[in-house]
Amino acid sequence: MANIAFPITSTSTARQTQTIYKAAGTPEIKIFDIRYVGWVKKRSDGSQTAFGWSGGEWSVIFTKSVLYEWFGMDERPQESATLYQVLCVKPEATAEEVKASYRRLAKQWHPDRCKEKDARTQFESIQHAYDVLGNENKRARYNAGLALVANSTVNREMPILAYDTADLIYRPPLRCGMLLCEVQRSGKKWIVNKILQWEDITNWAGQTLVTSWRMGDDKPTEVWS
Amino acid sequence: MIDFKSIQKRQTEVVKGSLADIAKATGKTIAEAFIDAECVALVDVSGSMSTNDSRDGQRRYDVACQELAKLQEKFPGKVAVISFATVAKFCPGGTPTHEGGGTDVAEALKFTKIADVEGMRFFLISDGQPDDEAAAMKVAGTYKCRIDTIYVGAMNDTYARNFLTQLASNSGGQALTADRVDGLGEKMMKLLVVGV
Repeated sequence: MANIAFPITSTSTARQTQTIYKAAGTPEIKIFDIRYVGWVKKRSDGSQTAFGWSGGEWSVIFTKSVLYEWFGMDERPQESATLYQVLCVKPEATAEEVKASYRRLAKQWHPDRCKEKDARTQFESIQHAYDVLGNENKRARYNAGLALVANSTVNREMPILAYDTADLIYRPPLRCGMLLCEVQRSGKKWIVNKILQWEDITNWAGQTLVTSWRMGDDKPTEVWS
Repeated sequence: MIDFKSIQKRQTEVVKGSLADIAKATGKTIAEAFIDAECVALVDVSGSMSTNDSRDGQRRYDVACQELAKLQEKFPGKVAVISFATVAKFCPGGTPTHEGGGTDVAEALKFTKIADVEGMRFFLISDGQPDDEAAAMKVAGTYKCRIDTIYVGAMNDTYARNFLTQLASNSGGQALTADRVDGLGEKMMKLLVVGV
């Protein structure tokens, strides 16, 4: 993930987007206060996009490839998400980075705060990923397994074990945040070309926002913790 | 004559207790199943393994597959199978891929070096002479874990046997012989359980 200085504090509670940079004929750089990012779905025009809830409406559009790039997902068909992808870290992440990301995601998906129906399952996946990646020996073995699988007979001689994720819908592991993005306008919406930074939303008391969308609700549930 | 149809069929089957079998049964990925593996079996699948001089006149390769299958069933999820000849391949389904070609032990050891982590065991199972003995010894010398070797060729090939004995000795491992693959599973079981 990009590691650039975030130009405004994430403690901002402003609901409006803020333009950081715009030059003639180039995409704009904007900050969005995104309160919820939905699932990536196949749209009628064939595109695969997720909508972002900002300023009380679905005003931001993320393409699948933009989210995949930010969260380190692989476009190639594979068995399933790697544990690194579950924890949103790169395979070369340090132990501290793994731990920090685990804490952030565990907070976001804790069943006591997250109201989505599969919160417990997601939380358990995050716990399992950290159980492996947070342990030096297990992580080394897992890395070995990944490297061996990359050069294995799985996809060629064992189609039964080869999964095609091309048509699977995708949900980003973080649902809200202050996002610094390169965007372009399309009617009343903003299309994100690239995510440059994704910070948690925190309040003056240092609490972090966790949002979830309960089935049937018309807006996300917000919990500060 | 080589029965390619039967080889292909066998290679698409998932051996009971193999890493792929365990991954499927537990809902894990194969890479996750590998975390609990205790040994890596590097199985020679070069041309000489097609010799029909093993148990009941079968090919050494076929008997090796049978013995490995028994072992994986007895120790589910503990054995990772790698086949090697000119190139090495990870075979999570538990059946070594039949390749033919040379015996590049050095390349095979380089391939599995990433799995040289605390607590792992390596079994090198071969019936022939390596393509490059010095290179193989050099790579084996970089291993932290011990490499046990099992010679599965004819008893009169002293050169190949000596090479495997030397390689095992250099890494602190044991060298055993399973005459033309017969008893391979039993020898591996011995190494796994009592380390002798």
